[in-house]
Amino acid sequence: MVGYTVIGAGLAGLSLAVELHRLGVEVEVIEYRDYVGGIHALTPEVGRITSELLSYVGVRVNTAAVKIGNDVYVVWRGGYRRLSNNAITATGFRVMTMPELGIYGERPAGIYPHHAVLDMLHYGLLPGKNVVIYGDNTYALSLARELMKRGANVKVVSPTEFGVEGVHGGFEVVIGRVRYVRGRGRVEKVLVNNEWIAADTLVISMFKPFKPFPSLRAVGQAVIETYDPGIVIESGRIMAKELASVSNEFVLIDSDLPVYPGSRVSRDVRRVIIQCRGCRVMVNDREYVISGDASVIELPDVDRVSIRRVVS
Amino acid sequence: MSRDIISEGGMISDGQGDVVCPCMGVTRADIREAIRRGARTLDGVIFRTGLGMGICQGMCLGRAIKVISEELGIDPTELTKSGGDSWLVTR
Repeated sequence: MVGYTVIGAGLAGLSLAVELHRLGVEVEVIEYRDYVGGIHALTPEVGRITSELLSYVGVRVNTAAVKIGNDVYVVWRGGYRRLSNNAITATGFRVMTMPELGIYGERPAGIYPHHAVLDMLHYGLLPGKNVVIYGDNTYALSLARELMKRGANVKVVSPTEFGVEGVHGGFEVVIGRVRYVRGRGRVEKVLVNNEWIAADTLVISMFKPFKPFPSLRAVGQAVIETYDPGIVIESGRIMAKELASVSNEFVLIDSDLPVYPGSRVSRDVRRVIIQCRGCRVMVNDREYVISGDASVIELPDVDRVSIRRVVS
Repeated sequence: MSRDIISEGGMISDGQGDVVCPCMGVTRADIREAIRRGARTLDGVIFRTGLGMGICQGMCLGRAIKVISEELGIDPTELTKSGGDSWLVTR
């Protein structure tokens, strides 16, 4: 059976690799950073799952996938090789861009994507002392707690109340949007709603799926906009089973919602992830309610499945 | 640039395989060369290598700040974005 290269040793990549290994498929995991866990590196409860997965598969750290011309290469200290199509992207979320977020103004030192700050903390560095974290999710909150623990003053600015309800972490949560950044050398203040907040640092913790190699298959937050670790893990398991499946029979899916891993799934797997926050969906003649931002659905054993959102 | 050596099938060693910015394929050896050509700040390295100019919006900046300071032989807290008060990290 062919071997696979998994790009990224976060929750999705490790889950995929462990499941492939369990199914008897050869697999290697590469990781650009010198540590594993990706965006969950600061989340203790997920860290425990990561360590358990690591007891089944090894990871080559300091090893990056790089697109050069039309090819993707695996590059490490002292060597490189071209990747075949038997590689799966598990690169997780990227941060949203300043234009996507509608943040105007100057671009001084001190505006950092969430992931860059994770690396700084890993190296014993702080991004600044008065930090505004812009994010409406659990990762923004974990980062706020960690920065507080290391002596920084932190404010979390969240555009919605949704992801930050009932937070007690010793830091202030402001509901609003960051609109403008001012600062000549370094960040001096950010405009939130109609009020200036003094800060030396703005961390962007608003995310979108990030699939840097469009020709390759992907798992986890590289393709699914979910904040549920269970869904991330399950996407890895589903992809592993699809890759290991030897059946030539498929279920064809016609859906008006995003469906992972795609519109044609192996007949002997028949598990998909449907993304739609708090939606009701009809899968052929059965109704499902999606709790959270996505759900795993077992498809019926038929040739064709129709997935429709129920709008009431 | 290390990425040119790779695309031409050449041999790489050590720093040429130490990728700092995966989007643009910028390595430690490329940063070293940018410094040899006069870069003393983060923006100087960005200007000469394209580091952080890819689709991920500089998610590599934490690692880049560490590697650039190491190659300059300074503490990361002394590195600036573009001189003056544009400091990048603290402790």
